[in-house]
Amino acid sequence: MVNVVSLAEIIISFIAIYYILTVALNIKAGMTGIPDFGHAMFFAIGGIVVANFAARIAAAFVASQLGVSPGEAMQLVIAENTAIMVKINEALATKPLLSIMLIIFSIVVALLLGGLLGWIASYPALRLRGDYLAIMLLTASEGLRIFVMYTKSIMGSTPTVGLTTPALFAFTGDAGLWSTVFVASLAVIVYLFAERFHNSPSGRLFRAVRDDEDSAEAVGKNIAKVRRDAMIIGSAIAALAGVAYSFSTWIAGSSIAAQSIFDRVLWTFWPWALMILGGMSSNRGITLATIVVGALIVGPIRIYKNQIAAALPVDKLGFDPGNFASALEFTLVALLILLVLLFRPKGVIPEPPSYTLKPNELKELVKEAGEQLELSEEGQQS
Amino acid sequence: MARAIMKLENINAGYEKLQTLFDVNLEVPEGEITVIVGPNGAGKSTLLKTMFGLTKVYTGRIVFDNKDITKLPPHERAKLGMAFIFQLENVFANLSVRENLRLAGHDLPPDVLEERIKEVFETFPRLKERVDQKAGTMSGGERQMLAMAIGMIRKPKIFLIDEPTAGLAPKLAKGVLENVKRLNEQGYTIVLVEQNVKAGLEIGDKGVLVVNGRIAFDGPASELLARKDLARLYLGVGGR
Amino acid sequence: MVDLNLLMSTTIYGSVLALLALGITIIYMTTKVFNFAHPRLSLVGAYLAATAMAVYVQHAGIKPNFEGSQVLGGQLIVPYPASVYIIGFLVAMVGGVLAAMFEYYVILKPLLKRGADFLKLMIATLAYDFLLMAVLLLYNTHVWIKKTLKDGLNLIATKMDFSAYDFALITQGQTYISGGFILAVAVTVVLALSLYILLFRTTLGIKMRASVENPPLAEVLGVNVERIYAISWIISGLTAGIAGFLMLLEPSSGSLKPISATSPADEIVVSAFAGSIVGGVNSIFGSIFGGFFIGYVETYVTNWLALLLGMKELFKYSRVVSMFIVGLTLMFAPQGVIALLREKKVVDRILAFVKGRRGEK
Repeated sequence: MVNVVSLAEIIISFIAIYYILTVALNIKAGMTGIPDFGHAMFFAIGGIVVANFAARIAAAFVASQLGVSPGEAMQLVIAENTAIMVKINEALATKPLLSIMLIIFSIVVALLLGGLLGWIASYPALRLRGDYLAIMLLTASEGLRIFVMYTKSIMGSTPTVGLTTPALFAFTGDAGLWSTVFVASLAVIVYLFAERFHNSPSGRLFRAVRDDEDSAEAVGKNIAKVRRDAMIIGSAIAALAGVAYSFSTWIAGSSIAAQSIFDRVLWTFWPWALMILGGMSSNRGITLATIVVGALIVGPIRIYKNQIAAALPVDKLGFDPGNFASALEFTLVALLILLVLLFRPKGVIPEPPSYTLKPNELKELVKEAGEQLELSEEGQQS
Repeated sequence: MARAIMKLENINAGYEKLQTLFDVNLEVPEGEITVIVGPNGAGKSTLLKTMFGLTKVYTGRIVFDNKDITKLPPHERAKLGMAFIFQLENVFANLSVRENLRLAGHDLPPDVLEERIKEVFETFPRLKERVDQKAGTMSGGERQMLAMAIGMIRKPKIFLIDEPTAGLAPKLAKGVLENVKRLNEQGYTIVLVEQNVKAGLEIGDKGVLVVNGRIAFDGPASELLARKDLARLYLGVGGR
Repeated sequence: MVDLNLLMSTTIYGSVLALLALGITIIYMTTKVFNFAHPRLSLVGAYLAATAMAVYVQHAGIKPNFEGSQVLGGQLIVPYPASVYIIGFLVAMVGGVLAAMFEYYVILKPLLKRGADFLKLMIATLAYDFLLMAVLLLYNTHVWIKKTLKDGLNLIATKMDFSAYDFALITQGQTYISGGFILAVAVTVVLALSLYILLFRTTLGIKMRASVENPPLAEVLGVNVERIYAISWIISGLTAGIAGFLMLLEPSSGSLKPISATSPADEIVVSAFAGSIVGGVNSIFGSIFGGFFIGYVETYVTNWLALLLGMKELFKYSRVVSMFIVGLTLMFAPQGVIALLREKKVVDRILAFVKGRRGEK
């Protein structure tokens, strides 16, 4: 059973991860209009970086303690994952410096690789539009998932079990708390970035391209570059969300699996749902949607789904309680999104107007223009 | 004055949330040509489309042949005897000439349909030559013929024609309007939206001027043609 | 030496993909949306069919025809009487149609009425996919269903391999032609022919083609375009249901996937869409070709590569091949492979493409 402190930590971690992931999607889909239905593949990069790259480096550093050469240790991370990671994680708990180094390493590498994959994906994103692009990105994500699932050297031999992650927060003594604090601060940084970005010249340019490509091009803006930048930035941030997920002992647990990091319900569809719920391109709307949905609906359901299912007399009706809970989550997200699409298609907080001038300056201008218009109309009538 | 075959009463209409017609009241007399003119974007085509149920009517009533059709979808209006001829893409390019005609008369009894197709071929012998050819491969003039034929095959009570001369050379445009006049002489009621005000009003019986989504003039076409003030302000003709 | 079993199972798989691609294409042509939920519609058909067959077998006290059973090609084949398969086939169609109609009437039509753009429609189909997934998850883990499938047909509800009940039609020693294979080919051919007749020889067909090409014009000529769309959804659901039934008969050996609602990312989605896209998303007969094409390419290209590289495990990656085919087709031949073959200056097009961007239509 989960106590109150842990519950708070779980929900905060949960919200933070989804917030980062949704902001990433928003930069691509909400602001620039790239229908990324393959968002999960960028998220997965973060998981691979932590569970594979960071783990191997950790192994190399503590190889002497394990009594093997660094090269062997790096191979054992995949071959004897569970056994070797127990020892590595014991070692990591006493090595704050190495842990911090690996945390920074994971973030930097995930941002770079996420950006790289986004750059590759921008090749079709520049050339295809609309539904073709959506289907292209969805199949790319599914194809990549299958590739990673069956490639032993990336995520281990069992796609559903995966790799034990290096316990990078073990040195703090309370990995749950400190991973939560860290993930939450990442989310705050992303929030500040998103707020600034939305009203920055490039943010406005992104939305201009989304709303009217031809006009944006006509005033000399390079649309190809804008779409590419959006893909790179958005994908890099999605990979950051993947890292945050892998760090979080509460959400990911002690291991992550290829199957779950590429899951298109969790990492593509949920961000879409949150983005649409919050209002596409509306950073504050997304923040609100993530917090409310995370705290009230998804968090509790994920944590308590078995208790919920047990409390409902579903087994008397012949349903399997565990699967009933999973089905409950699918149903909720599906209904939530369908209802929003039907009744609040612009989201709870629609995209705010962005001002190049301060609102009151703008009001002055409008007023002046109005007066002039009245004058000219009077002139016409007389 | 002839009986009004169609009546629009206090119509407010538009596209989804964009209202483009305001408090429109209009009667279409049977057997006459009603010509709708007005500046660009004034709502002429919207008015025509509203008659056929191709826009969203917020309030008001449309009566056709003594029947309230406000809520009817377009395909039901077609069955009541209304025909609409679009400005562009008014034939099915991927269907053959025969298939185009069969589609247009799909709810007629087969023998009547064959009869009508024969009649059409008598009027437009060129179409008979191309009966199995896809409409997309025909010339612009032939396609315009097919569009007319498609409209005629059900022998509708009323034709709504949207800017048939748009983009045509003046000589061809004159021919098209003559066709419209001939159609009227066969007894068809016609509502015509025309951007060439003078040529349009000259063949019309009734003239309607639409400005900013409202009816600014409703009366005999010849009178509208003579109103220099309106013409100068809104139509860009007869100014000097 | 041709591996007959592999050829047969690949053909069943190919026709499953052809039917799915066909359904996806029909919906894209009419409703203008890629229906991400489409493969799941076929699973609805498959589960309902299996349940119906199981109930029927139990109620009528039918036992598998053990006298007719044989070990063929290393597999025990125990056929049932024909009535069992007929019931399964019909119920699968009904299931597919019901799931498709629900999607159109309850979800997409209201959205279309509100003027939703392609993005919202696509998201809605994804949402419906998850809804169906939840329903199927509840269904195949339900005690009664599990028991019925186990008692009736000896099936495990989460891994429904019905191929042991295939009916061997022609046998010669250890070589046999499987009934599933014959059925798959026959159904696809019959379906393609009837679609051809429907579209090009009937008034309904003219109406359908007209509604696809120019919906407003068809509407003013008295065609109820909405009803035509509804009919296209029925056809789409019908083909999905049949695909679901064929999936049951598909041997799960080799490159083939399990039928499972528990895996959120159902793998067949990639291949089904690949079939539709390779065929050119606006060509019904192209999509049937595309489905078979993807089925054979996935299997044989990966098999060939596995032999070449000496990597037995390679067949697992077969769908990665489809992913690349989707990418290449969309970027270099958005009208589909058949259209590309007609095009003479393929290289020019690719060059022109690499230089500049293009829209999808």
